[in-house]
Amino acid sequence: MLKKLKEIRALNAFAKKQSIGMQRKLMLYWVSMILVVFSTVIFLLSIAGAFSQDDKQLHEVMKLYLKNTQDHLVDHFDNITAKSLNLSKELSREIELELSKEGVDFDEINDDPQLLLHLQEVMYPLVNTTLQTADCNGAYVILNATINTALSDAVNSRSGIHLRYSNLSSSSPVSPTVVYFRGISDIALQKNLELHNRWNLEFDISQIPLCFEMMNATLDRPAENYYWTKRINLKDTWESSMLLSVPIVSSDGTVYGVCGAEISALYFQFSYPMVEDKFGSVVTVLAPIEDNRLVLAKGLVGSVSGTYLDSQESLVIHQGRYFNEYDTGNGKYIGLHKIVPISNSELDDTVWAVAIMVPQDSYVAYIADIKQNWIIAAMILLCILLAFSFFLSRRFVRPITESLKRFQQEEMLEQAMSSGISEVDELAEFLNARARNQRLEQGDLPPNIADLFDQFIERKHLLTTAERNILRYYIEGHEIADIPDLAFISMSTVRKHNRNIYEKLGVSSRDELMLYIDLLRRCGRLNELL
Amino acid sequence: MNLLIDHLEDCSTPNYFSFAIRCEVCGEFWYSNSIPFSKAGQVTDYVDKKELYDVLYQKEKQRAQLAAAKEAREHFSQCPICRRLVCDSCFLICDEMDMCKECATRMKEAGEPVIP
Ligand SMILES: [Zn+2]
Ligand SMILES: [Zn+2]
Repeated sequence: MLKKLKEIRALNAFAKKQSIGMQRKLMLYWVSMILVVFSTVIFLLSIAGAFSQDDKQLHEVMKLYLKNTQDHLVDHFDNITAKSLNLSKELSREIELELSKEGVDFDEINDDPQLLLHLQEVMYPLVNTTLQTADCNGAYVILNATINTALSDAVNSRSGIHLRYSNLSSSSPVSPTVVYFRGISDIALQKNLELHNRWNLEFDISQIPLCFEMMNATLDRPAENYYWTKRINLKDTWESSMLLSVPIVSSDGTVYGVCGAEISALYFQFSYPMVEDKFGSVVTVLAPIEDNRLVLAKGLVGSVSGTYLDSQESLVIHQGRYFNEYDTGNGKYIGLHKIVPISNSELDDTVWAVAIMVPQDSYVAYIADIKQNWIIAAMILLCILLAFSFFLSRRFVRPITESLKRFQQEEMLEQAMSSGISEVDELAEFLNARARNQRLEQGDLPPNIADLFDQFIERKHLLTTAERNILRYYIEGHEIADIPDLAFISMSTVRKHNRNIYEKLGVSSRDELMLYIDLLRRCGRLNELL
Repeated sequence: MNLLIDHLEDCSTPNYFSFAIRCEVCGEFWYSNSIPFSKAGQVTDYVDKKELYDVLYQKEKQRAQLAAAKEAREHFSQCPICRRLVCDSCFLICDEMDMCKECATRMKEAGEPVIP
């Protein structure tokens, strides 16, 4: 019973508080639960490294790019090297053959225009074939001889042929035109070749690194020497190139000169286009490493559209865990690089590296974008969870509030409607039962009981003061027999009063009178009778 | 009750117990039902038990007195104004307060006697 009382009290408290209060509390509970779970998930994810996934992913992608680029580049350069070595061998044989035919030593070809022309006529088809077959934009041969040793710049001037493609473009389906850059002009006339607008009869070997050394060195195994020059400006032009230099060595070890192929900056750009990745524009770089710097000015850079590289920077290398940083001084790039042995010469110790890199800005923007997506996704998830919690708490509270409403409207249903919550149902059942019991106690009352009460109470005005005093004794619970002693009147007097009281109040007996009194007491209207 | 007992006048004989109350307004006597003494008529036969009978007599008389007072309660009221004990014929039922004939006359209150 005590428990039931407590339940009623609890229900009372419910009714007094607004239902929204309970829903709010439930909401608060849900929200804090959700926040705890949410932050735990975020915490675990960050511990598991879900948010450094991007760097790792970039590393994998970069590694793949680097491997592809490196494979491609090494293939490419190996091909050119093989063709150039072949060119060197054939030139050596042809020159040796011609010299023996003419019966002269190699030293004697200086200042002999006829012999030089004749040699160039022999060399031209070989150089041209190399240009046509090797994946390059130029091929050349330089003999260690000059047409006029008396000239002031004769020490740097050397006879030879340099053929180049002129109208290169990345997408042109037209086969490029061969132009005559260096060499005796008679050959250009013979072969119907256009002279380069900066054509020269001879090479200025001061422009070509190590060229002089190569031609005058005594090499152990000269035939196996070759090296790529650092990028040089082609004299009098806006173009710059890297040249592969292979010595032309006779059977007795004399170095006739050097030959090889050319890859211009422009040609490299077309050959190594920029790749657009979600991280940013991926650029290929082939450059020497000097003092932990990638010296772009001495190397080649693939297509740079979408980046700020101008192929002249020195990039300071900062090694990183997943990728390196390349700092130009006014801009940073991230990427990976790898040393590639493209040269093979005791004269040259340049360390070449192939690198792929993307502007750090675009990567940061990409990461920021991803982070933003994460945040948006998290916010959306949070909103969904909040809405869910609102929905749940409302759903939970609704049966309670509806039951309360029913109680408040005193709409006691005989068949208890299920609220879906056993405790609420129990409470409802209990209250219903109590209400039913109350009604059973008043079961045989006529339906117009209120009217009867009103009439009864109205009639009390007919009573005299003396009669009302007697009635008061009855209301106080005294029996008829008690009245004479209490009022000091005879029993006959009491009976006479009773008759008058019954008559005036419209009751037939003291029992009926007492029933009225009892009912009025239950209704709380007894004081109206006094 | 005590008021009534105080007003009872003893009219008992050795064989019967009887009491009377006199209305203080009209002076009429009311007599209670007489109750016979349980040993009535045997007093002379047993002289030896006279003492016992006397005690018995007193006890029965006391009981009879209480019964008489109870009986009188049916017929006598105390006037709330003059505090006198009056019979039902002399006690009037008035609107405000019941009272004796004389008081009602004096205060010009209308009333109806309990017994006309
Ligand atoms: Zn009298
Ligand atoms: Zn009086």
